[in-house]
Parts: sequence; structure tokens; C-alpha cells
Amino acid sequence: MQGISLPSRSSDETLILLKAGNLVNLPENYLMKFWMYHIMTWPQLSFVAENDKGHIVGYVLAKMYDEEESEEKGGDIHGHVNSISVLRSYRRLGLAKRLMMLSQDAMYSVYKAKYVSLHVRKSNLAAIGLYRDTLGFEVAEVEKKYYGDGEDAYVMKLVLKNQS
Amino acid sequence: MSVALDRQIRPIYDALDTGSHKSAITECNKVLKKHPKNALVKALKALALVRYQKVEEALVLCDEVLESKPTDDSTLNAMMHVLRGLGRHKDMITMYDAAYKKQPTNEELGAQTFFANVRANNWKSAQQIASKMYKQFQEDRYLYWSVMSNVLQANDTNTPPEMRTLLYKLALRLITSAPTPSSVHSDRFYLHLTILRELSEYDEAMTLLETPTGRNICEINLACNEMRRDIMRLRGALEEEGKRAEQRILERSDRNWLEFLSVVDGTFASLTDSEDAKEQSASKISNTLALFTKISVQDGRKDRSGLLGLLELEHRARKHGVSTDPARLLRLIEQYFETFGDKACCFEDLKPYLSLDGEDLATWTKVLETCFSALSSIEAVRRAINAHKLLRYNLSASELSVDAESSRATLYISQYLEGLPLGKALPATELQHVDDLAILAGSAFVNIWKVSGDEKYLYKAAAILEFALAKSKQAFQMRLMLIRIYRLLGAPSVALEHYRLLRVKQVQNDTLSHFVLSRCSTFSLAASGDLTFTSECLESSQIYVSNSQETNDYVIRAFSAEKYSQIPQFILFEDWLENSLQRDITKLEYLRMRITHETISSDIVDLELIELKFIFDRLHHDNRDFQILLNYQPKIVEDFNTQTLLFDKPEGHGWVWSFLKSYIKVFSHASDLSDVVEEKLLVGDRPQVSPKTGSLKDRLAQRKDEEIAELTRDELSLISYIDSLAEWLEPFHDYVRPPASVVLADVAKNTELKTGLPLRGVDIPPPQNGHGKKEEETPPITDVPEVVAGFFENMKTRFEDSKHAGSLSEILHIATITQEAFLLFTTETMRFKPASVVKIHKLGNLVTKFKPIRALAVGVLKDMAASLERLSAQEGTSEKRKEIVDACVFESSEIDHDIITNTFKKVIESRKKVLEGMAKGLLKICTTYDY
Repeated sequence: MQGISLPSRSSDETLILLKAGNLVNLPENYLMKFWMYHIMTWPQLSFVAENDKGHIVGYVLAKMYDEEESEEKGGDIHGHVNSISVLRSYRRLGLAKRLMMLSQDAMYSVYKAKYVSLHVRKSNLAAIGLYRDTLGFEVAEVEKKYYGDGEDAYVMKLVLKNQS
Repeated sequence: MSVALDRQIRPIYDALDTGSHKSAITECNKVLKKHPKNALVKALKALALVRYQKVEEALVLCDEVLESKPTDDSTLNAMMHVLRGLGRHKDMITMYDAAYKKQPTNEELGAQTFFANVRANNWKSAQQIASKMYKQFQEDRYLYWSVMSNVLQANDTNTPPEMRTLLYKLALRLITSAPTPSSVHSDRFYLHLTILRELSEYDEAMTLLETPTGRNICEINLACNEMRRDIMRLRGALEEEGKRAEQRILERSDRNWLEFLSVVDGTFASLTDSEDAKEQSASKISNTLALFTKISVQDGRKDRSGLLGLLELEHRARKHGVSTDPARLLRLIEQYFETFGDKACCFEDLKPYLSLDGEDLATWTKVLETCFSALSSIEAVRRAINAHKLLRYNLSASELSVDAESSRATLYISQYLEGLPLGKALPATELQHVDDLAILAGSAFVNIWKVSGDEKYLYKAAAILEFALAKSKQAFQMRLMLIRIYRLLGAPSVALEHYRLLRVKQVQNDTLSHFVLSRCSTFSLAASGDLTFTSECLESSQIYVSNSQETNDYVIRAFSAEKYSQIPQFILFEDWLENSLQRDITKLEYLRMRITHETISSDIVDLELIELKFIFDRLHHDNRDFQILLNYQPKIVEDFNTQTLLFDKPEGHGWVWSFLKSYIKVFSHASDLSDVVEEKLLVGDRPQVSPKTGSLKDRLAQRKDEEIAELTRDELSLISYIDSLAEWLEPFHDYVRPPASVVLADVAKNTELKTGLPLRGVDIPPPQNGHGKKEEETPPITDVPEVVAGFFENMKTRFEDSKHAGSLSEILHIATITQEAFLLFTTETMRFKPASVVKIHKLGNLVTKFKPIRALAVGVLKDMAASLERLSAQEGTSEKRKEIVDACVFESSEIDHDIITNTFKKVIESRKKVLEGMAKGLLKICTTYDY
């Protein structure tokens, strides 16, 4: 990777599905249609980081909840980060932070989101550290047994303001 | 619809929804008793039948409903699913067309008709329908649908090049005729820019981009911004773009590497050979130098862009011959290593700039060699790993002797063990910090194996990787290396176990399955009843089914949502998967295994033949991912992927063509399905045929050098053998094969027996001669071609030779190829088996020539089976086990002996099992076909 060619979400979002085959260690097991649905519905919110060979080394996949859907969650239109991951050899470079910032910016500027939310495993201290200390998220609630294996999730939230 | 009827129909839908196809059929029959003409119920029954795999019966109903020309939503919708299930996209178009014509003001019907054409990639008609809808309903989006259809037609590979510009021009005329400008909607804007770019109308594109709305869109829409960058580049406005990028870097602290590249591109944009230009560029280079230096100082260790930018700048300056400071490159490399040497990506970052030689290289090597300190921190470990990788990358041939590599491996292992305790507290989901040192050791051992040919080193590589993997369970890179090593060692079940632990999912089934499915018939025990690999093939091929069902839906949805920037990508994605090279490699491997397991019959031959001919018309796309294998081998030797390919031969398009041609030849000989018959009986649409020259027969006859080059020596023998065998027997097949009319009459009779209804849509002229003797003479009986006569003896010799010298996987390869030759011989001569056929056609003299070939083949295969059994027995001995384990004793006692012993127990078991099973399978095949 040469530096970070971050927002290369550009010209081939879908072919990323093929290229993302590289990411064997990614924990997510989403169906193709799930990816396609997100990319199509909220194209501005999802980003990948590529290296100079065009290999994907990280991504963020996000969506919006509009006011109606948000009813039970407080009524505000808000963004939600479904999934974020960076290949291990490209960690500690601030990639995850930048992917998150890009997505948050778009949530705010394109969709006028009031806040962004995400779920994180209670045990994932590294991720919680990133969200809380670097990005300013706060734990809003705990969802018991959110994950398939019975682990609890923290719901973390960040109020969005004009950041750029 | 009456309420009562509605109530009766609901259970049908429920049954369909829950997948109870059989009860759906029963419910349909109930309703049809009272309402025998109801089109909706008929359509639903057809759908249930399709899903219940009763295609023949479904076809009858389907055609009835189509004839009634339905217009109501529910029936059309049900029929859409039926026709999709049958692959009859063209009929879907006809159906919607007719319905839309009857109700031209029905907007929904119009849209459905448009979508039906989209599904069939029928862009021309899609465009016409969209224009018609635009006129009728005056909605902008329909205009854009027609523009998009034009663009897609232009991009279609079947569209002649001279038409392309014309279609784009038409698209431009349409888009500029829209009442509202394209910039009201970013995706419409994107489409507009695409067309302008294609027509090289860069100035007009710039005018659009320079408008306030245009600028706004580029700010928030990365697809449009990328397009803008592209157009700037095409205009040759590199300097202008470089300036803009510089602004972004400075004012908005943008650290997108693409911006840095734009600055570098701008710096060298106007460089020509003239002296003036060189002088000018010197000042530009120093400006950029100042800019990047400033950024690198400002960012420090926070961001790599500034320093990497300096490296790229110097690299390009050297390439253009305008570098002013011969020491700068080395200085920058050193500085980079100093600053970012403890980042995991440092090696990959520096790799493009490492072309040092002479004194520079010596200095650099010294820097790296002296940087090792005690591995007491994670940073020190990462720095050491980077230094090892960087040193290894530049090793020269003289530094790669077995001894030198062995002591290097020992060093990697000792440092691995030294640093291992640093990761003691890591959770099981995390990777160990020292993993790469084990990978380096494994790479060194593999390299020694490649040089010395001594399998002992493959075992050593496997041992250290297994040890490290036990400490770092998520280290999939090690698994991939191990899969390659175990296949080389002839231990397929251990390789497969690792592959399954990767939990390959979705599209990875296409990109990564080559790791275990490439030439997997070599290891298949299907002949003796073990279907592990055949089912692995079927499972990994599921992705292609879901692709053809789902991706298409997304193209439709993208039209509805006006996401024009995504439509071409969805289509390309679908196409890449649909025509995936790996898909058909898997298919061929599956077929090669299938004929060892199932009794070869005309049913298998007919069905496979039709599919193979479909595949033969595909333009394949290679999606296989080989880059995923890490490569830390020195740059002067082959990379790890190449080093560990089974039989040293990567298979690709040429391999697929070679085997396709062979199987199509043999199967079309053995089959009664002539093109005429096939055409009449085919249910779905034919795939779009790429424009190819020549008839099928001509294409089959060609063997190109680049195809042959992808075959192993034994595969090549097989292919030559098949070619001569097929050429020899072709005249007799053509002579004996019953005429199309007889075959069709046969099929019709069978269909009627099965469904109780006559076969529709096929006119059968009464057979003229029946099965009787032909008018013309029996073709002259010729001698067995030499290639055929000598094949099995040759394979016997090959087998004996490799038994003494070769690897286990090569022994298996020779045995399976010989087996395949025998099975294809059986297929090719199947037609001449019945005594009545021989008698009527006077082929007695031909058939007597088969007997010695078959006897020879059976003899050779039985001998091979006996040898394999003996080898299998040897694998099991305790001496053999001790020999291997002893080979893998490492100097360090910290490497757990149990892991090594257990691993090799599994490897030996696997080798034993595959040898034993293969022997059994060979004998079984001999018994089945020795008549």
C-alpha cells in the first residue's frame, strides 16, 4: 500500500465483492445480496481502503435509519455502522478511524443524520477503545446476548456535528 | 376473482412460500377440478412443478398459460417465476410484450416489460420500451432508462465497434433533450459524464463539472469525483489536477494517496527531452520536494503519505533520468525504515523502491543487519520482521545455497521462539506478533525443497507452520501455505481439513476454491465410493446459482432506484461470476470424477454434453485469487505461489479448452443428440454466443500451443491419445448413429409415457428407415492408431519411473490419467457394444480391434493398483513415520514434539488412505468395464 488511497469506493463498488475475497479473516458472513443492498441504498456511506495493487485492506459498511424506522430508537434519523474491518497487516495506521470519519461525514452531510450508532462485542476492548477514545462514542445501552454465541453487545452512540 | 376462489388460492401460495411443493401441486389440482381454465392456478401449478423438478409437466402447463396471453398481475408474476426457473427469458419478454400491448396505459406493465428485457440483456428492445414509456407517461426517469439501455448496448461485447459510437451519440442526444438538467441527480449526472467521456467530449464535460452544482456533486459523490479525475487525465490536464490535489493536501489535510499521486503526475506532466523542459521540471520537482518534505515533517509518524510521496517522487525522477541527488533514494529508504520500520506494512511500502545495487545495496544491507536488537517489545519484533523481509527480498543467487537457507530458517525460528512470549496474554482470536517469522521459516524451507527436490524440507515447512498455527489459530495465511504443501505431499484430506477451517463463504467460493479443487480429480476416491471431492465441487458451485438468481434482481432494483452508476458494475459482476474460469475448472474436475463413480450411460453423456457445449461458448473471466498467498521469497526466485503449484503447471484458459475439447469430442461421438435434436429439446434459452469463427467441429479440431503449454506431460499424452482415438472412430459413429427423426420419436415416446401427454412443439416426421440398415457402405475398417496402441504401455513405464523417483502426488496423477483414458475409451466404444449393432453395420472387424486395447488397459491398471497397495502398506510402517519425524527435529527443544508427531501421523494416514482407495477404485473400474 502506498500511503492510503482511502476513498477508492469510487469506480467499482460491486467488483469489490470479488476483490474482497482477499479478506479471508473478516468475521462477517454477509450474503452477497446484503452487500449489494447496502451499496445500492446508501452508496455514500460505505468505503473501502485499497493498497496500490488494488487489494482491499479495509472497509466500513453502514446504513441509515430514517425517522419512521427510528421510532423505537428515539425518533431521530441516524446512521448505523454494520461492520468495519481492517486487514491485520494494515492496522495501527489509523485506517479504521479514517474509514469511520468518512462514513460519519457522509451520514451528516448527505442524510442529515443526528447521530450514529453501532454494536460492539463487550470483549472487544481494542474496538471499544477506538470508538470511545479516538472517535468519541459513548456506551448507550447493553443488548444482552446480541451475538450468535451468546455474548452481550454494547450499543455505542455518537452525536454528529459538522466535523469537516 | 371471486372471494371463494381467492380463499382457495391462498393455500397454494402458502404451500409455495414454505417450500412444500408437493402439497402446492395437490392444492392446485383441487382448484383446477372446479376451474379447469383458470390461468393463475395453472401458472402456480407450473411453478410448483418446476420447483419440484418435474420440468416436463411444467412445460406443458407453461405453454398453455402463455397461449392464453395473460394480462393480470398475479398470473404474470407467477409466470415470471416459472419462466425464470426454466431459463426462458425470451418467452418472458414475449409474454409481457403481449400484455403491455393489450394495456398500453398500464405503467406497471410497461416497467415489467422493460425489466424482462433487462433480465435477458436485451438492451435494444429495452431502450425502445423505455422511450415508449417516456412518451406515454412523461417521466424523466424513463428517458434515463432509455439512455442507460443505449449505453449498455454499446458496452455489450456482441455490439460491433462501429455501432458503439453511434449508440453513445444517440444517448447523448437523448440526455441533452431532457427537460431538467442531469445535475439534479448525482447518478444522472454520472451517466451524463460517462457518455461525454466515451465520446471524448472533454470540454463539454468540464463545463458541466465547473458549474456550482457539478462541483457540489463531486464534493460528496466519490464516483463522480473519480470520473472528474479521469476526465482531467484524459484531457491531459495533469498539471491542473496536480495543483488542485496540492490544495486539497494543504488546505483540507487530505491524505488520500491518490491526491499525492496526482501531485507527482502533475510534476512530470510536461517533461519532454528538450533541455528547456528539463530545467523547468527541475524547479517543479524541487517544489514538490518541498511540499512533501513539509508534510512529512508535519505528520511525523502519524501518516506515511509525505515520506512515501518523497520516495515516489525520487523513483519517478530516476525513471525519467532527471534525479539530481544519487544518494537521495537510499537516504529516503533508510529514513522510511527508521520512521515506520515498526509498522507491519513497512516491507510492502518499500518493496517498489528497493531496486538498489552495488554500494547502495551493501550499505542498505548493513543497516538492516545491524538493526536487530533483543525482541523484548512488540515494536522490536515488527522491526525485526521487516528487516528480515527486506534482507530476504534482495538476496543474490550465491546466498541461497541449502546451507545458507537452512541457517536462515534456524535464525527465523529462534527469533520466533524468542518473541513468542510477548503474545502470551492475547485472546485466542488475535494473531501472534511473531507469526511472520514462522511464515519466513516456512518459506525458506519451501525454497530449499524447490532447489534440492528433497521432500524432507516440505515436512519441515509444514512442521513449523503447524506449530505456529496452533499458537495463532486465525493465521489463515499459514493455512493457505499448508494446503499447498500437503497437496504436494500427497495428503489431500489434511489439505481439505485446513481449507474447511478457513470457512470460505460467498464469493470466496469462486476466488479461493482453486486451493483445493485445482486438479482435485488426482486425489479423488470417487471410484471406490468416497464422494468428498465431488460434493466439495457441488458446494462451491452454489455461488453461481445464487448469482444468476440474485444479481439480476439487483440490476432491476438499481433501475428502479435510478442508481445508474452501479448498473454497469452489477452487470459486470454478474458476468464475471457467470463466466468464471474457476466455475468451469470445477465443472470439469467434477465430470472427471463423476465418470469414475457413476456407470457411464447415454443419459450422463447426453446431459453433460449439452452443458459442455454451453461452456464451450463462454468467454471466461479469471477471478481466482493467487495474490492472497504471502510471498517473502527473494526477488530472483519464483514466488511462493508458483513454487508450490501442483505439478508445476498452473491451469487456466488453455487447460479448460484442452479438456473441454476432448470431452466434447468423445461425448458427442457417444451421444445420439445431434444439433438438430438438441435444438428441439432444449428447454431454456441458449446462452449468448460470443462471436467465434468456424463450426464446432473446426473449433474442436484446433489445439493451440498456448493451450498445450498448460498441460502436464501426462495430461498432454492423454489429450493426444483422445484426439487419435476420436479421429479413428468418428466415421463409424457417424455411420451408426440413428437419424434425428428416430431419436426425436424415441424421446416423444418416453415423454408421453412419463407425463401422459405428447411432447409439444416438436414435429416428428415418420422415420424413413427406422433402425434398419443404412443404404451406404460400412466405412473401411482402419488399424488402431499408434498413439492409441502405445498409450497404456507408455503410462506403465511412466508409472514405474515415477514410483522410484517421483512424488506421491505425481504417482497418483499418472494413475488417474491412465484411468481416465480407459474410461474415455469405454465411452467412445460404448455404441459398438450391442452385438446387434455390430452385426447390422458389419463392424465385427472393428470391434475385434478393441479387445486387445481394453485387455492391455485393464492389465496396466491392475498392475498400478497392486503397486499403489504396496506403497500404501509401506506408508503405514513405523519406520516410515520415524523417518519423517526425525527429519523434522529442530534445534530448539521448545518446538512441541507432540504437534509434529500428530501432524505427521495425519499426513501419513492421509497418504495411506488415498493410495489404498485409489487402488480399490482402479480395480473396481476394471471389473465394471472389462467386457
